[in-house]
Amino acid sequence: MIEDLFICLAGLPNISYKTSMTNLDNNLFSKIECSNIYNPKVRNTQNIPNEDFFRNAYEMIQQTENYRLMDPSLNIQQIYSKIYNRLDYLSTLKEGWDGFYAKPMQCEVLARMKELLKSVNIYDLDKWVIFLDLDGNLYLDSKSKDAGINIYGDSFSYFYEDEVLYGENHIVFSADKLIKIMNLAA
Amino acid sequence: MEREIKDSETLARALYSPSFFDQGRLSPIAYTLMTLPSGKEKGLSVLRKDFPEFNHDLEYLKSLRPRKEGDSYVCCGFLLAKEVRGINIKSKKKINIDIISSSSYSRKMKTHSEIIFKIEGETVLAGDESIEYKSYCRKLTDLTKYDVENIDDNYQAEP
Repeated sequence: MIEDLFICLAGLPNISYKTSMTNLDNNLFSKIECSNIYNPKVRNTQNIPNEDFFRNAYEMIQQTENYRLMDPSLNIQQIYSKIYNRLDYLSTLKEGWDGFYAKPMQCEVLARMKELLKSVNIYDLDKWVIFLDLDGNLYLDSKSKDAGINIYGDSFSYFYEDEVLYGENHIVFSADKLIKIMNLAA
Repeated sequence: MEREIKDSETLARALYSPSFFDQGRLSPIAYTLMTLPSGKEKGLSVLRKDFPEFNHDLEYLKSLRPRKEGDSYVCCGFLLAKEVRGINIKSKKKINIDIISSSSYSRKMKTHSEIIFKIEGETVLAGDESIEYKSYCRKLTDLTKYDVENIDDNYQAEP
């Protein structure tokens, strides 16, 4: 009985040995039975987590993963600075920057990017890596998912992989629409 | 040299521009087909690394590139043939990925080969905008991410 109790307690996070020894009352027992979903020896079927629990847990893990991909040492100004420097660098590339026939960044594309920067949450933009494509358009590559966004002079395209592959080409540019897609696909 | 490319073979994609990199990440654009003056590419050029001629072919390939400011050979991305063939595109369309030896086409490079991407039996050409093709380029990049993780756009090529 006592051994079983300790096994149950071991499954509960943040309950110290001392605490468990000084609170051996019915209330604590009930807590263990209600909340201990980690211990395989507890066979109360009421404790089996439902679908919502797993969904919430999955979302938490996803969020953690997204935050892990950010550089925690950077504050918001540093992220702005990093993105500015990246765009500045890409805008200096000359024709043939790939060693063949790649074009420099198109002015209209840079203008669309500036529109995006006015509205986007900079932390959300930091989930993407910014590249130039061979035609002088921008390509945003997701840091965490199989996803990408092409930004053209007057439109954008996207794809992302979930259970199936989703995507659309040449959507008329709007920063709001693009932000929605970025949040969906990142 | 056998024409058939085995699953166990390693393929090398020469990566030239440091601008394809950002903080150790490689752009999928490095794996897209190019539109050349001679026409649209239909196969992604790679070399077969497991043959003695590989080094010669890589040097020859490098010599073909026009040297431009900021552009230089950076490194190779290495792809296992089995992993390339096994790329899973989550599409309802029928996808085929073939790897063919093109040494007869490129006589000066015996290990030269091409990766051909087909959607519903049709070979994809440079400039294709299908989501399947975009996803495929990105997955190729993912296969080589550990080869490039220490490279960024500040890479300085040897003179």
